[in-house]
Amino acid sequence: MLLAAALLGLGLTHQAAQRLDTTHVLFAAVVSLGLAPLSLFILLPQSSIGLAGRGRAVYALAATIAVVVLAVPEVF
Amino acid sequence: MFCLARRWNSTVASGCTLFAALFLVSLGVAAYAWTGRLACALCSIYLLAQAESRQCGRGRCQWRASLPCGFWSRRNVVSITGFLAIPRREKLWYLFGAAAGLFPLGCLVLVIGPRRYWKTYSSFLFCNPAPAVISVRSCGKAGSHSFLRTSDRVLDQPGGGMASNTG
Repeated sequence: MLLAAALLGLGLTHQAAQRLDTTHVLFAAVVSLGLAPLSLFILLPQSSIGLAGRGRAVYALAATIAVVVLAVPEVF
Repeated sequence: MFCLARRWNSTVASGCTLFAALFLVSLGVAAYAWTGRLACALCSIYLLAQAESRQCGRGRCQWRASLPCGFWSRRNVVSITGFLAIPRREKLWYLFGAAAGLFPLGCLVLVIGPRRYWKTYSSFLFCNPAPAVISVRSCGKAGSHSFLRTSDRVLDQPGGGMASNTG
């Protein structure tokens, strides 16, 4: 299911490539960036950071938000 | 998005949903059509996942899942993904749902006439008529972005034709 959602996000990237302004790029990135915390959550092995369940989710969310804030500060 | 991600963890599902909503709100642009299309696509994937876990009976979720695809302008992305994901013997149900989703488009073609529809559709196909859209589909930039133009034509139709007809 995550693969299907990721392919959807990939399929939307050509929209961003056509209209290279912040608004359209972010519109196209809503699915990809929205699912980024989930992808990170799945990729993070439970044993590697010593966190389980909610802690791992918070870690994934915080990491994604930090990356986006650093990369595209004007969004916030 | 929450329903999609809830399967793994409720906290991260809430975070994903809030994160995506934050993007849409911070943009300050009310693109309801675009947001609705994304919602339809995500809903379609969610229903397909339900069908996979057999929560709603054999074959019944496929056509329900493909319905949102019919209303989504870039339906090909979801349709192909979903179509490949389901078992072979249940693909017929999926096609039935896609046909039902395309029913409004068929009605539109009947109402406005096939000739008029094709005229607008073909003008959209070969040269974007919408002046407000700055796009590589515009005829003046032919050649330099041929790949994008080709992929766009494949992915964007016939939803774009329908949009230009209704708009």
